[in-house]
Amino acid sequence: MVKKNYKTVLIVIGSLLLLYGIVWISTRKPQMPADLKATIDSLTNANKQLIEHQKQIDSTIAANEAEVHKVDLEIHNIKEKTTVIKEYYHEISQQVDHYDATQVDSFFKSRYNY
Amino acid sequence: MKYILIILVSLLPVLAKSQDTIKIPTQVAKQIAKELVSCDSLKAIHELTKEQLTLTEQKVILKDSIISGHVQKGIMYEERIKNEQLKFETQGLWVDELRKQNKRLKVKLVFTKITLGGVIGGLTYLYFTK
Repeated sequence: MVKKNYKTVLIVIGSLLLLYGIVWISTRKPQMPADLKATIDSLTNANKQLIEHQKQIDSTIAANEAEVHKVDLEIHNIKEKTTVIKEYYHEISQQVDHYDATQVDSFFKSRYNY
Repeated sequence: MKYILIILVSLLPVLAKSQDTIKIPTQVAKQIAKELVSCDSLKAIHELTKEQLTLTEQKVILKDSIISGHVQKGIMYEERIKNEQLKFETQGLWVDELRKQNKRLKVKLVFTKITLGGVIGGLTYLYFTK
């Protein structure tokens, strides 16, 4: 009776170990498939390159904006010059209003050297 | 007669000059002078305006360049978003696979417990019934 049980127990243990082996083989350590990994890596690299390119564009934009700032300053200076010139010639024009005949004559003389 | 000729010759430039000279009223001369001053002012302003125009054209070119840079960046953002979406989809496939494997691992754990329990129970039984 004991021998029969002994055999049965051994068979059960053997069966369990066999079953465990089958389960162990069917559940290996999870690894990402190579094609998925390659796809994700290539997309990550593509995005890295795009980010680098965007940084280069950012630096170009910053340089152009600095140039625009310089041009704006120059335009501002020209506007100021224009204002000064307008005021200068306005004053001269007002002075001409008060010229007498001799001053008008000297105006033309100095202008045309006769 | 000789003296008269000399006097006439010496007066000739004066006479000639008086023929080239015109007389205009002072008010008209003033008006002309004012218009000449205005003309000078306009010439100077015209030169500055030309300079300003050149600078403004430069500014427009630079602004165009800036705009095209921003457009390029926008296109790149769209590409990056597409790539991220593809990555997300690809990772979704992997997540599905991991879920399946997780289920298998849970089954494995159950079998490990059962096996260990059976083996330990069997060995204990054998030890005591020996």
